[in-house]
Amino acid sequence: MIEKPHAPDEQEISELPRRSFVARGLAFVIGGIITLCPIAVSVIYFLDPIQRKKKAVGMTGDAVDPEGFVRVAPKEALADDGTPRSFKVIADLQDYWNKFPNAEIGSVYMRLDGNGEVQCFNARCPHLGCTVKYNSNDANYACPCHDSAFSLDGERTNEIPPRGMDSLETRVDEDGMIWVKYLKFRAGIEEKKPV
Amino acid sequence: MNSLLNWLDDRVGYRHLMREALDEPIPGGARWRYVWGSTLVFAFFLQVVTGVMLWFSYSPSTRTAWESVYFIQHEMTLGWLIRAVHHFAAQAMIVLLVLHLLQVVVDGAYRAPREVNFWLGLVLMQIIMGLGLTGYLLPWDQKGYYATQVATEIMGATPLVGPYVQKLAQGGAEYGHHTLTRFFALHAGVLPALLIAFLGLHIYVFRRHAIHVKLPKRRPDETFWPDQVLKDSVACLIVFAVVLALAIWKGAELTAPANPAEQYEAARPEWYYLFLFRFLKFEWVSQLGEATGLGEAFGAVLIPGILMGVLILMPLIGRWKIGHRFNVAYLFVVMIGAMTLTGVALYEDWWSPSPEGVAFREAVEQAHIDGDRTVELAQSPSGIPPAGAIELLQNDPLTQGPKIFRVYCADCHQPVAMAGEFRAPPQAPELAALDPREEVSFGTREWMRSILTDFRGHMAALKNISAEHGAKAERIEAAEGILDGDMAYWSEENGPILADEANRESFDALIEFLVAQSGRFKTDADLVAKGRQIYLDGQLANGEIAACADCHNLHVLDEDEPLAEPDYGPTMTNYGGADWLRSFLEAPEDHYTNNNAMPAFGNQLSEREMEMLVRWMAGDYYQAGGDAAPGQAGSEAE
Repeated sequence: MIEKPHAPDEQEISELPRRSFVARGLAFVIGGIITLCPIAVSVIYFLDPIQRKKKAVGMTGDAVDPEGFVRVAPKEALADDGTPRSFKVIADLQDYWNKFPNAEIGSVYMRLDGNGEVQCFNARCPHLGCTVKYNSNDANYACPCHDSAFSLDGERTNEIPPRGMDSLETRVDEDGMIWVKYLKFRAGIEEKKPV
Repeated sequence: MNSLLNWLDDRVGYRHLMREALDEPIPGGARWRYVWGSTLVFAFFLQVVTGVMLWFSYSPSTRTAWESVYFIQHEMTLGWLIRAVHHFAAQAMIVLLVLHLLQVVVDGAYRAPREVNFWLGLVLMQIIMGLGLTGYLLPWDQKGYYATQVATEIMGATPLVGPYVQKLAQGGAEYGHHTLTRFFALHAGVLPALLIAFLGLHIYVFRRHAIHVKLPKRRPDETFWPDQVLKDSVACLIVFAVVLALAIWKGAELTAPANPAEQYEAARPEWYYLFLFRFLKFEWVSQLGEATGLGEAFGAVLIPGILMGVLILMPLIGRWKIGHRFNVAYLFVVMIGAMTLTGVALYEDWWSPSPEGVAFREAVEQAHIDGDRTVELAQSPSGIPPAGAIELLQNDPLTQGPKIFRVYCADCHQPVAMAGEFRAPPQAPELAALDPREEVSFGTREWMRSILTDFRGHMAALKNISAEHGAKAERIEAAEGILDGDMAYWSEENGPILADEANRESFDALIEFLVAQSGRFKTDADLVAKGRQIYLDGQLANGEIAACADCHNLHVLDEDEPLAEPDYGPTMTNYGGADWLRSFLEAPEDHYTNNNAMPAFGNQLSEREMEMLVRWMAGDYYQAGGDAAPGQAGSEAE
């Protein structure tokens, strides 16, 4: 067995020279600096998604106009009787470093209301973000995840979702094309707030 | 507070643990020579912190690795710093490792009862070198790709097991997505886990035997905390400062995306492997490899294996009387050998005037140009396409055009600054400097002036189309015909009139109109309109010239009717622009029916090469800070 020097006891420690108080302080400070600096830099880096001004993921390209409207479908594709139809929103997608041309960004429901105006809803459920389904039998929208249900004009018909379906701004151009200002809204809250 | 700590201590006994850890006695007092192990732990701490951060943003596949590293480097907050610290702390670990080893061997700390700990240290050394090797590939840039390729080829050249080991490392016979997923799993998962496990054992065994005291003791005994901790943390602070300084000053490099079709002459391993790289370059090493039937494995596996083997045997050798002296001498000899080889390799690459040295430095410069250009294109509005950044350079006229020009055009149209790099003298006028790549003299105002006032001088290189340089009779005749042709006489007669000071504005106007045809340059609309008239009638402010329109047909772009339709000289329609260039390159004989000395390239260039070449010469490519539109290009703006 190798002889192992024993740890100093209380008395020995109290006899250590006074300069060890300075040493303690310095060791503590320098040790703190070299530990905390790398961690601080890393935390700043980790918080990048919160600090970022330019969105890392989003629609881009010629299909999107400067106000954020995307060309979706011709108005004549909508049934006169107010039956909703699902449409895909297609635009160039900026996804961090990549740019994907003509990517599917999301989907919307569109229908004509009683006055023949276009009504448009984001298909994302305002409850927790699943995609809402249109049931032609019941003539309503229902979410397959937690049974949120909505009438055809987007009003909630049960208390599961916190608000009605998220309506989207639309405009029809001179060629009869519907442009949709496609936005996503935060799920799970009463207020309709863009993501 | 105190009662809370007491409560905690009752449950977990942390005070005992802290005392165990901190009150370790240091017989003879704390010393600077004991700091190396701690600095290594600190460097590893840096690697874990920055490595985990990089892990959050890195995507291992051949089409996303470079791209995600680009995003870290150029888009994310402090991403460049995290990457650079990771890069330099890795190198610091290697340096500290060597210093730690030196201290242990010189102090004889490897001898009984610390043999096992010495061996544990050697295992740690292998793990750290493995981390360096696997990490180098992850950015998937030209530098890492080609350097790591050499390493895996060496694995593959090992007799018997080689090909299997190589396939296992690469995930298959070739580099691909799984090469990156496997290297990444090793680099961020397996190797760090092993490192932590072996580091735990290393420290445990170290504490079991306590510190190996360097005799004679110079001072009274001290304890680890705070005396040695202070020295350790000062040493760590210095390491941190050096790493941080290098990170800020030098940064971590990201060369162009890996491209197996694009040669990279500057392929080198990280500097700490350079000694091995240089060793393998010796011809006698290869000869011995062949003689022993081991091939590359002789120099890359057997010799390093033997050197390492002696290192492993050190604790046993150290039992003999002169064993310790042998060990120290051996380590110094190996160190000096490795340092010499590293020095030789560095000298040959960075300072040697030899052709290889020059080629290396040029390749490094080119790699930087390509890397910067890829970043510029990635940040352009078109962004990185789904197939990855590799396509950015492949479809960039500024990158590809000059390369194609160098292969197909430069032998005749030699850049003046490159004179002496060709076997034969130039046979046609200079069109582009190639360095810088943006500089295309063809079709510029200077080019036009020179043709109009000094045609024979402009075309002087055509004299070299001669039997002496192996030209065929037909071509020699055509060249003579050009130098003695109508344009030569036109220039002789009308050149001095154009050059007359009184005709200064008229000449400017004609030139402006001519260069406007290509659409490459910003032009002055008033001058162009005046020049148009001169083109048609030859009337100058002072005198007149034989009108261009008498010989050269011209259809101004976007106009319904042709401006002039003689069928005599070469067309001026879009002269110097992409369409003119393309049709000229495809069939020059259609342009210069009588005297054509220019070979046709329609069948030699692929459609893509033609497009790249023509668009580069016409200035039709993305420029940061400017328009991509062809009309904006050129260094011509006056």
